[in-house]
Amino acid sequence: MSSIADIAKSSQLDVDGHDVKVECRDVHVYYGNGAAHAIKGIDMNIREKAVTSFIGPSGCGKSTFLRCINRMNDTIDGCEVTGNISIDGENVYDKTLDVVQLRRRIGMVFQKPNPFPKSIFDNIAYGPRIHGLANSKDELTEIVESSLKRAGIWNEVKDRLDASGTGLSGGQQQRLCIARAIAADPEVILMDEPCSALDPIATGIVEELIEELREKYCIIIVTHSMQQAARVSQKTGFFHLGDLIEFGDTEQIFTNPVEQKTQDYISGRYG
Amino acid sequence: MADVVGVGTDLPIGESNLANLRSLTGRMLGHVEEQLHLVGMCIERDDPDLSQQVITSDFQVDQLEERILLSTVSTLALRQPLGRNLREVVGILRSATDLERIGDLSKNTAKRLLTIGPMMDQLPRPAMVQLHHYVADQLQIVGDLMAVEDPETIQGVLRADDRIDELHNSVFGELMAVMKNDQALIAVGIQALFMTKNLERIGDHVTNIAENLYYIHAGDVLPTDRPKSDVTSFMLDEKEHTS
Repeated sequence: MSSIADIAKSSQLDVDGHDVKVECRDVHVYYGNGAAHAIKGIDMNIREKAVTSFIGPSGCGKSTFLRCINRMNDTIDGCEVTGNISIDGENVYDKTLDVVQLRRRIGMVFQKPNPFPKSIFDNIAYGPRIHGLANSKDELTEIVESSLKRAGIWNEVKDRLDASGTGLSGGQQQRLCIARAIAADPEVILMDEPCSALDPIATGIVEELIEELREKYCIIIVTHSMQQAARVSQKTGFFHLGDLIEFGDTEQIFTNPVEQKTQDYISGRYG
Repeated sequence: MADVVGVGTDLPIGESNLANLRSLTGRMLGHVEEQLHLVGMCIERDDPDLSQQVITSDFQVDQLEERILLSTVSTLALRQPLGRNLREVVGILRSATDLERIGDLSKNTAKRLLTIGPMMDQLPRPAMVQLHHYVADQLQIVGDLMAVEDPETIQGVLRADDRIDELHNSVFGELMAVMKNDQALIAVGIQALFMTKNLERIGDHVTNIAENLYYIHAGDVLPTDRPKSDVTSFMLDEKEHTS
């Protein structure tokens, strides 16, 4: 007889045999104490060490669904999430789960770069400090350096770590925020339109960074740019009016979508 | 010269560009069909003026191919079509190359017909006419398929390539027999061999266009290991094509 652990383990592969990091089952989201049904029963297996993008017109629910994964919707009054979301088989909505610890495991990068009004060093060191990830000043310095290196910004800031994070350019600030997310040693990184406030050059640098980061992390990105989804992700989900219309390999979604609604959206018929 | 239209229109992304590309392809197809039709008339009866017309009109086909190339690049750069639209843009670009080749082969056939001239009476004209008609019919069917999606008919065009190969084998054998019987006809016979090979190659390009249409429709490519019936590469004797 299989143990519960075995069953959990056996369900951690998707249909293509890849490791599944985040498993979502029948997820619903209601706003305004049930007045609005924003997400309607979504099932999805999100792959480990891959980039998954969510696309769809404004108001389709893609950001709402993203925010379910790290329980950001908990902070919204009147918002209710039902169903099951698990990371490595562990229920994210388990009442005994420490949400602060959960958010250490799930980093998040927002649309507008939001560095703390502190030094570059302190921006990165903040997470490791509050989560007790460093036992000494040297260890903390090492985490800061390696995070900035992995985010591809080390060479630009190494001589001015004491300067304010808010004094960097938009693209640098966003990479600083990615470095800050990495510093807490997360397993999943959520990105909510991370390049929409950046110019094309900075966007290209961040996209290259995302490509490098996927070797280590499960990355989920919400984007309004279909070209960006096509460039950076391996899997793409198309959302419409709270439903997941189609979820598949990015190449298939953009060259040969199965659903007419997907075809209509990617060819600009609505959205 | 680029036919980029529709930037800023209220049509969905790329639709106006696609309509423009379809229109250019339709015009190119019309020119190529006319060229091949005139070639057929010249095979049936020696007509140097018509042959000359095929040769001089080919530049229009070349110009249309260039316009399709420029319009395709503009559409990809400015509209970034996706899904079926992307497949159609790529399919049109590939088909334009095939149409341009059909135009070139028709032009070369017309040149050879001018060279053969009245000597055509000494050659197996009915078999050549039959091969031409069959190829021209397939081009017309494929032209209709560009306007109306019909996967079953696409498969029919692909199967018809076998019949074209068989007809070519037959003409090839008959021309060999003519040249064996009368060595004075070797020079025109060789011209006729190249001419009929052109027709067989036109059939291959028609098949390519049908494959492009299948890709646009289904988003998938057909198996490439279709059986080939052209045996002329192995023929040393005019009777071998019947074996």
